[in-house]
Amino acid sequence: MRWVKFFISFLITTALIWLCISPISPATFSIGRFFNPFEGFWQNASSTQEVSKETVELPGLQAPVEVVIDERQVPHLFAQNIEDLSFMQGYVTAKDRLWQMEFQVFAAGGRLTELVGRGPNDAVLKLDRQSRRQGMVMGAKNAQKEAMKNDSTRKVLQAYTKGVNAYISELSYGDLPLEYKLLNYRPEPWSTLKTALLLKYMANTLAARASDITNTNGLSTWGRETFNLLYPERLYEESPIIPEKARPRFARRNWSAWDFEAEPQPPIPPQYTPDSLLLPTNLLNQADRNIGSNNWAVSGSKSATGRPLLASDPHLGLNLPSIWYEIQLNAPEVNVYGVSLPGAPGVMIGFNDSIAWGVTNAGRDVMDFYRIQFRDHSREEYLFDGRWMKSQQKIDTFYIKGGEVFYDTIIHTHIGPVMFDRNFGEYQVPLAVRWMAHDPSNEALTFLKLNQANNYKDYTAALADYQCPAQNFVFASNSGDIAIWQQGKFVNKWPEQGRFVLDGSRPDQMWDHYIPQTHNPHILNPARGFVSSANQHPADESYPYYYNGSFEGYRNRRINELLLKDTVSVEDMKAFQQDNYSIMAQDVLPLMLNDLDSANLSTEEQQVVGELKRWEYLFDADKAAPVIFQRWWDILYKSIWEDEFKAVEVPLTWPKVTTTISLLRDSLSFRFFDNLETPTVKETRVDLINAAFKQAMRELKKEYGGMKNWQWAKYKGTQIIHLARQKAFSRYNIPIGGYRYILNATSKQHGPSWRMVVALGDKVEAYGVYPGGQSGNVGSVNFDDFIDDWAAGNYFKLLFMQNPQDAQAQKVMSIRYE
Amino acid sequence: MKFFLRFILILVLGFFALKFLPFWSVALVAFAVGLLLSKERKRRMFGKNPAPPFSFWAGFLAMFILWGTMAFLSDHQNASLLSNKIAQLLTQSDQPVAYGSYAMILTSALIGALLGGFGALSGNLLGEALKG
Repeated sequence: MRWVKFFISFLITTALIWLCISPISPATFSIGRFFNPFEGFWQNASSTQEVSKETVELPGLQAPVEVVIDERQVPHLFAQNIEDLSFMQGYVTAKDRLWQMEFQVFAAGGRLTELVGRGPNDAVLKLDRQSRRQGMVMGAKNAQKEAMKNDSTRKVLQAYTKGVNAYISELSYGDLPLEYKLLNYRPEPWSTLKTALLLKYMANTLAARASDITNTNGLSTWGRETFNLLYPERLYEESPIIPEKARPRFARRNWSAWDFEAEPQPPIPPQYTPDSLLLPTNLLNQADRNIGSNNWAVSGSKSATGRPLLASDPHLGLNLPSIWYEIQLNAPEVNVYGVSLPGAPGVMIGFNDSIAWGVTNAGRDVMDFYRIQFRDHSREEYLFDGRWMKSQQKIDTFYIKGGEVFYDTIIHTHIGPVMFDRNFGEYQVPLAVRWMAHDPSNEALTFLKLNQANNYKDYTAALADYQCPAQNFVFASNSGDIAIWQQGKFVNKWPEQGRFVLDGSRPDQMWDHYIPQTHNPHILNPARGFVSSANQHPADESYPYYYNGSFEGYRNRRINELLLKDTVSVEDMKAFQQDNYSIMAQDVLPLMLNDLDSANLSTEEQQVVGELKRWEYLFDADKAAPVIFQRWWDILYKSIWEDEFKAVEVPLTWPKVTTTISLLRDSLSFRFFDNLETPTVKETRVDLINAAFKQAMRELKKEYGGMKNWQWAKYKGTQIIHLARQKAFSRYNIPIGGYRYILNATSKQHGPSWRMVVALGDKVEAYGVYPGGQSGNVGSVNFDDFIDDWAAGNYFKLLFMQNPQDAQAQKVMSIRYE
Repeated sequence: MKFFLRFILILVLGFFALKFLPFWSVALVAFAVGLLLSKERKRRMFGKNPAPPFSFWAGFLAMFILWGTMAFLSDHQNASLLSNKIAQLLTQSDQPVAYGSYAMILTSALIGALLGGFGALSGNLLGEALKG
């Protein structure tokens, strides 16, 4: 009997232990481990920092490094050589952001299924397969090889890697960041390949938009004439990055606005548009085409300080932990402050003692698709230039959390990997992808050089070899120069090359010629006293090279208008970054109001119209007018395009807002205004505008009540989501104004991921803020402590130290690593 | 007295064991103490009437206090930032959960307590079974 009692109890105990050990599902934690206060999530409940000073032994350093961590948890590194500096950057970044670094790199490398499983409807597996088929890993390997060839980048990248690994080697289970405990895995060693992958992750966010597939479908569906109306390449009003140069009255016959002799345009191949080709699926997870950024610089003659001012605010998807990590790097060769990308060494946007710089996305198309003609079902050979070329078949392995393995055979051609075929995307006509990010390049070197640059000459040298993702680099120096340069590697294209899917069997459709680097649009110290970019067209139609892409039509006009001010101060620069004025609303609302049949409006509706008429196009957080405008516009936009577009079964992109506004202005009875679902009625613009207004009023009344309840920030619901998509770690309903097409480009999930204003001078002063926090630890008070200030429009004065004992430092922790 | 001895032994030994061993060492320690202090061995050692087996509750209470206190201290110096988020995460709720931090402390305490209780009981019953 006693034995029975024992065995029962023993069984219960064992069962309990087993229950507590086993992960709840493959991708989550084990209860016992997780709740154990000695090892589990309680270990991540960090205390607020105390002021302290200590010495820590850290093998791997050649000489001691002083690290000062300020009250915002920004690390300031003081090293005695570049290698120790990079080592330390790897170490401190890993200390704060290890999980994020790894997660992003797993995403880039198509390995998310290892962490989170297949996903609902295999969504995660599909995304991983796409990443590999797109050539992310291939591109990263090429970049890594190239970076290893250069002495400087090799040393820096290897040291950074060692620093990250030094941190990882210190971690016991209890020390692991919370997400590892939650998802039940451990960090892998870091490598230089992973840094290369991280940079490709950025390239994918910024330079992997391709409309080839939807343009091809559009052309086949609508025909050339309508296609040109729906997708014009130029906008109804542009304000390009390089200002138009007026032709002088007594110009030479062969006068060009450009100071170089352009290479000849390659000949246009006959019949380059694919004849009525319809493609079944589009790329997954395409980056929002509204991801953009602003940057500008004001010369000393215009600046209130007498020295140049520079502003840069990159717009990206807003996530936690933030994509950026503030840091200061100091060694004998360099003293730079700015934001870094966890996973890569150096500072990406920032300033040093002599210069400042920032980036916006160029938006030019550098990804093309080619139809491949295989000889037979085996796909071992494909046609090119009349001959059969041998393809390479590689089998990629996907490890799915829980033990399953998935194999994907990816065919490689000399053009690039076959991204879409009968196994992926349901393509009968296989498409290979050619992407600038595949080509060997050393982006890390550009940033290394920028960090150490002292003047315009250094800046141009730094940009010279930069390839992808193409950016508009704004520049200002202490000595008074301001400049902007659209830098990337670009194909010298024949007109419309890259707009549609190309023929992979024809040599005349390949990427054969490239635009010489010095012919990229750029300008130094223009007469108007400022340079700026907001993802718009780089130049007017006088630019002698053809290019295509996706370009902004509103923010650029606004900033160029604002910068006409006689004198610009630091406060002005900040105010411009937060400007809520919408030129898009300015362009279209008067027309919408004009078409409204006021006789047919209720009293309440009349009141709303009155409000709209008084409105000054400001998308302020507390206003009601933006709510009704936006809802009205969204319904109108949808009512124009939805009926025709949803009838088509292949992927198409709806025309841009600029195109839509242009069409609304030009015509009352454009054929797309007609609603196909009402065959007996032929709607005009006026009908659509009135119907949309009525519908908007009904919807808003139902959802929010009367106009007094409408508040733009609440309606918009800006949110910042944790990378693992956990609500508990995310922030919702952030009280901030702005929207797309506005300088304060904060929409629901995208916005200014970093706002920086730099005043050059004998002593550089800078201000910055980003919507997140330095710590990647969900349990830390520094996880999201900047968000409220960012939303309120506050900037922190950036602590730019000259040495570790710098008196202005409100030191919190000072650590000497040796 | 017997209860208190068990209780304090499990708590102290548990504290040191957990510094080096995974969470199930809770049950292990409780098991060992339960076994060593089981009625039969006590009878052989002290020759007195054996005490009632409060083993389960000794183990339960010891671990409840150990895990509960450690959790509370961690929570306190963190101003309950993390525990509230974990509570929201585990309930997959849209809003922060009321009394979330207390729930997390309690849950940790209970898990440790159950492991400690059943571990101690098992050890004690083994001791009983072996006597014969």
